[in-house]
Amino acid sequence: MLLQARINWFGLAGGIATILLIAVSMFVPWWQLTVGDSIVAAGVSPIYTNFSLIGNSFTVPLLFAINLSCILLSLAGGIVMLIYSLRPTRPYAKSLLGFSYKTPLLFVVVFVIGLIALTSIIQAMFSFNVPLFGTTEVNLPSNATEGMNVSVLLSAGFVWPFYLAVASAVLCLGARLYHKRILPPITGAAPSPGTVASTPASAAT
Amino acid sequence: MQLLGLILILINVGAVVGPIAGVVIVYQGNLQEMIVPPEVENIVKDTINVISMSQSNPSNPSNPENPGGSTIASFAMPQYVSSSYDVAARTVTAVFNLTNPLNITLTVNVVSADVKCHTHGFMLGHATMPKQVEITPAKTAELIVVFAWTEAAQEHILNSHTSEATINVDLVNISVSVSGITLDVPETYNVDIPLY
Repeated sequence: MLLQARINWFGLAGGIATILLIAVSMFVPWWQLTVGDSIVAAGVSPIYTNFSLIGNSFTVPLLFAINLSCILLSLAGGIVMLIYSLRPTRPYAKSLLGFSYKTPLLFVVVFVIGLIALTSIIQAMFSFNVPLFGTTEVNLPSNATEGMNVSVLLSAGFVWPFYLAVASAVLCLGARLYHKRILPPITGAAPSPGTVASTPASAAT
Repeated sequence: MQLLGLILILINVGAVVGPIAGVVIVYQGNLQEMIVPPEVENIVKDTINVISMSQSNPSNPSNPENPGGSTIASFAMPQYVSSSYDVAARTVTAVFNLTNPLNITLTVNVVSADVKCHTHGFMLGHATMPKQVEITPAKTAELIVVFAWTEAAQEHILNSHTSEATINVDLVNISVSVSGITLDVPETYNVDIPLY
């Protein structure tokens, strides 16, 4: 019972999930878009982004740098969350928790907002709809195809690491909420320096 | 406690600023390459070369001189190989060779066209590919196209082209679907089909 109280199990699970997420996201994207039968493909996640154009893969250096930042932030967040989870009642625990619980949630929220913004920008600029998930047939503007009617099959969807990221974010958020239950209840205001707290024992004397 | 908070802030700032600053320093001479890497320019250049070479030299399946510095061969129009008639079924089966110069496997799902007599504008029938064909990178595959002519077309040929060895036809409403990309070609292609 005492041992259970000293470990934040949500945090432990969240930390492990975060580190696991970094590992799997190196190989499997969170969201994937394919044009035709993979003539153009994009695998996107905050951890790793890869594009393929007619069978040739390439990485955008700026995105690579952003991905590297996200890896470092996630890794730091995951490790700090693990350290916090094993020592949740220490004086520094709240600082560790405050640093680490937000990162997975922030990544999921920013990623989804970024995807929605990106697809909206493409729709506004090129007048065709890129689905967030599902399949759609897009007619390219005729001025770009020399009068030919060119339609392209677009398929997009979230891949399972995205759901692992959501789970990780929920667990880390759970760790933040569970932290209040781990701490001993505060019955009154903390005594200010130079004053003596009145206790039943001292009152009796 | 304050020291820990400072360390955590430094980790945050370092993780964000470090990699981005590193990339900016590496690409400071050419910031455009930071967003559009040279590989993309090469791929686009190669693809444009493939298309432009095929348009300028449609009968040549590959270009050994490779004038654009491209590492890939050009797209060529399908090369006619052979044809056979089935009078009872009123079909002509034509075989073409098509080479895939790209690095990915192409799947030719649909090739279809309406066939019209060029002289009289008479609709003769419809040509289509009975089954899809996969062409692996840098390989050539056979495309089989079956043209089925109508009974009315048979009468038209017997009445209006009886003394001719070939009939000049227009291919209209051409539709091509390759690897999920469908092209409806508005142009008309004119070809001679042997009658006997």
